[in-house]
Amino acid sequence: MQPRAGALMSEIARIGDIEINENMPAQRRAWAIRRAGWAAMALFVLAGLAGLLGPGPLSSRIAGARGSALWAEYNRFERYQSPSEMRIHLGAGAAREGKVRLSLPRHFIEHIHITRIDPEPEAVTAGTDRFTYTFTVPDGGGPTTATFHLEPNVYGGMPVRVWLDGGPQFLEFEQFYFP
Amino acid sequence: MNAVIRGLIVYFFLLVVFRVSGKRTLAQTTNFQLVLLLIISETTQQAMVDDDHSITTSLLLITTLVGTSVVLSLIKQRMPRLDKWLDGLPMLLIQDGTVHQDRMRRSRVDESDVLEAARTLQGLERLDQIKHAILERDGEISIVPRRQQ
Repeated sequence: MQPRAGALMSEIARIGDIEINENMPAQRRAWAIRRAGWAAMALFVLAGLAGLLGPGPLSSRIAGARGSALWAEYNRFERYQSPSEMRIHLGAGAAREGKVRLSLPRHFIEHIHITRIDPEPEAVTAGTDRFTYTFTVPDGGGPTTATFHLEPNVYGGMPVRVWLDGGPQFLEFEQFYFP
Repeated sequence: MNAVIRGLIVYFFLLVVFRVSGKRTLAQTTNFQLVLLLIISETTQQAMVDDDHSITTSLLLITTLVGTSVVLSLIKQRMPRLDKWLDGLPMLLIQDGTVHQDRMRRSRVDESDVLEAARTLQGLERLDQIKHAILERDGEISIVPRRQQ
């Protein structure tokens, strides 16, 4: 580097006759980091496709035994304020006197916005620790399904319990809501 | 989530993504890059303001984004190393007539890009009229022509 008038820009290197801040070792490091960044971007997109960041193949789960009196299809991973659903299947024997009563914990109802329930429950009872939805089913009715359309309003993990008839029979699973 | 935190998350995510994707991703505005820019701005807007249409939120977000930009530029001025990592460094693609093929390949620039810059900026016709070609920090290619003998 030649001495210059005015030391203001003295940190700028001179390559041949051009004054330029080129730094090939730093550039090579940046390229290496960029490659790692590309890999990270690819992983992020793949995780999204696979359902690790929201609904998708790896996210859809089943709680309880398929075909039993009470089992549910749900997503392990959900996203904040993104519409989704939880299907609660009721097998033969779930009904008592033409009614099925499903209960959900109060902390779940408080944080998850239930936009719609198909079919509409006949009655909703607000208890201290759980909310109970009563559906009417035909006498000796076969298997049926109640679909809850949901919109999470929280981030993080949420333990979910679904009780049948408020009784000893319940499902327990956990969901995670991404921001 | 608070609009300020949303804004900061989106700001730093975009900073990292654009740094990683390379200088030339949005350096030029070809038709498709314009479309890409519009799509990104639309998705970003969704993530930042959500359903909140209040003026307060938009004012808060604008201040957050511009403020972060000012703070970053102040920090970069004090810390040249950070500046180097955030904005990269200029690099010679053609040095005294010697074409650095590996650097061009790595930066996803080819000779036709260099020639295009030579034509538009300097009115040059051939590669041998270029003395230096530099990939600048903003992804543009600048040209120093060979002096006429």
